[in-house]
Amino acid sequence: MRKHSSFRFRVCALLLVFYACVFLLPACRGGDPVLYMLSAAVPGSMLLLLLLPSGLFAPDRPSLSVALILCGFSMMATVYPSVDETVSQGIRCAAGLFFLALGAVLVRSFRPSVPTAGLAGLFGLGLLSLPLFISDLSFSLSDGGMALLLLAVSAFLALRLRLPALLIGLGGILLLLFQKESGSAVILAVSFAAVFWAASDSILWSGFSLAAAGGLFAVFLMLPGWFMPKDPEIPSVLSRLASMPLLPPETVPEASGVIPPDLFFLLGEQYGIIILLCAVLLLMLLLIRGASLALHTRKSFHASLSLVAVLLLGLRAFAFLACSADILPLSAPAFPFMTSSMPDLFAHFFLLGLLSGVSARNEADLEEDARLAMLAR
Amino acid sequence: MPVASADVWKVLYTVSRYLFPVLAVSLVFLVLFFILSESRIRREKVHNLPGSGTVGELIVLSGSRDLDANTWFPVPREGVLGSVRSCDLVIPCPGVHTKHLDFSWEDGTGLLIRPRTGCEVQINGVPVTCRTRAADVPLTHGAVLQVGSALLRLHLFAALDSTVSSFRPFPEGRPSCSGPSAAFVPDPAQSQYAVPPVPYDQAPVVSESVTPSVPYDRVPTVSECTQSESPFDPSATAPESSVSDQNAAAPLSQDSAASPEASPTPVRRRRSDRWKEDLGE
Repeated sequence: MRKHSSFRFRVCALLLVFYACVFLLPACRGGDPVLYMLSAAVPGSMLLLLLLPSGLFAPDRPSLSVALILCGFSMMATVYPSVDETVSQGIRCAAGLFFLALGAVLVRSFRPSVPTAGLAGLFGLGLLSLPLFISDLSFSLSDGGMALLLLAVSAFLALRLRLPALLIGLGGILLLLFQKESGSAVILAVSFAAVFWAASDSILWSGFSLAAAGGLFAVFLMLPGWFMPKDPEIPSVLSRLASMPLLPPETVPEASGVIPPDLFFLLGEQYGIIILLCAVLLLMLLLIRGASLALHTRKSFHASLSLVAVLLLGLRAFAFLACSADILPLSAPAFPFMTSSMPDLFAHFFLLGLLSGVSARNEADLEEDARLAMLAR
Repeated sequence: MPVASADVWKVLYTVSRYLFPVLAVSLVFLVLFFILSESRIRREKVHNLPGSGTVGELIVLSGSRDLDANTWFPVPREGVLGSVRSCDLVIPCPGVHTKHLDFSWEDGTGLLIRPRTGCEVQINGVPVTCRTRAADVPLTHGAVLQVGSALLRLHLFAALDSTVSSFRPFPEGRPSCSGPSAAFVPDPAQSQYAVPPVPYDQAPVVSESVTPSVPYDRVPTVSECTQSESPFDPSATAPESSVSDQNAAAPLSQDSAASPEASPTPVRRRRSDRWKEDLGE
């Protein structure tokens, strides 16, 4: 136990030093009081979150530490171009913690039943269909909708109701295809097929779900004007990486005031490729952690939920890298936790909340076993 | 207002160019070690609780050539029973489908059995199909499950029995329970856990149809087993079951531990041990 605690404290200490230095350095140059405040507030709040005893929701600390580091990276990326944007990103991340708690509490209180699964599915479909009713919607709720849809699919599959699960999943894919969100539709289809295969325990049904999702794509690809390839003016990741330094540039980046929605490559331009690689590795660690949580669950529903979270986060990161490298001819989605889009960030925190909830459930199960062992003695 | 002069700041910036990547890489490694240490802690916890995640055991009263009587299976909280090895409980007996039934533990009710389409089981002699509501015929402590030609008896762990809503402790003066259900981790394959059980002052809930005629703290004799009043008498269909009943309670029974010669107990075998033998062959 001592070793376990020591690693937690070491991570906290390093986070404290790292983010204090990151914000203090530009503060020393310009003397901006906001940056001084950030240099105390950002590491302080991270420390608080990682060291506070688990009360209302027990966060999975390794996953939370990864998410906090990635959020910190997204704030770092905007320090030189615009301090105001750094503060805004910090506020977005802080608000995302509410969704982390929501996801964790949901897992602990959600019991798969037809009404609850149906409600989650309807909410998911509602979020995905919102842009069809409000045409001038400036933001996308597809990530949140996909998470709720897959929650409903997992619940239906835990109840062995395969047909409603199939219909809900296909409905979600259809809605995304109608809105020409091809990237999100691919992510949902792959996640849906994987969850169906893992939880339905039937090769026939899994094959049918895969064929149905593939058929939908085939139909839409034949429709004229549906397929919108990536804008050729956006440079590929290889050309962008070639222009990036390995270490932070020798000259101090100047404030431009213009912040692109994709903070991943902005981070690379400001701090070098090594930090970018660290971000990718950290996300991989988060996915490994999520997969191990899925393996340790006692209920198939919780295993499905972990799988959903891991798949959505992992496929999004993979799609981001593949689209940026021109492997997939689609517009790149945002890298998890490193986006200035608030709905996307909230959805990522919600998925992290699902992982935290499953982790808390696993711990509670072990404690219950220990209690039962004591009772039996 | 700038705190550091231009030269000092330039030095600081140059140092930070190397410091930040080093700190970021260190963070990655520390998080990796943090995750590994969490996994190690969990493994240790599970190692100290060998029965962790299981609710009891299914003991084979009558099996087949590939499934000896007295083989026992740890029962997880949720899973699939069938004849293929990908199932959580593998019953290689005639009449058992590749994936025969799903089961899940529900606190306060028992082990819920959901046969798959076209499959049928019997719980204490009552036929159960995929159309039967699982909660109506739960598998409780001592209940006998017939799957194909296999007869299996469920033994729940004692502490779990107290979670059953219908649990009522015996009034004072009744014998205390020290049967197989009185120990949390009845893993006879591991000798360190096969300790004499401590008397348990609360009796587990017993399925109504298989209420034992002998107290829990005593191993029934062969004649007692054959004179079972249960409507579903395993001895009627399985010649070995009377011996099996005796053996099922034997590893954790004080009587058998005290006088092994008086009641010779065949070794109970875990199904996974047979897998190792199969693989060895």
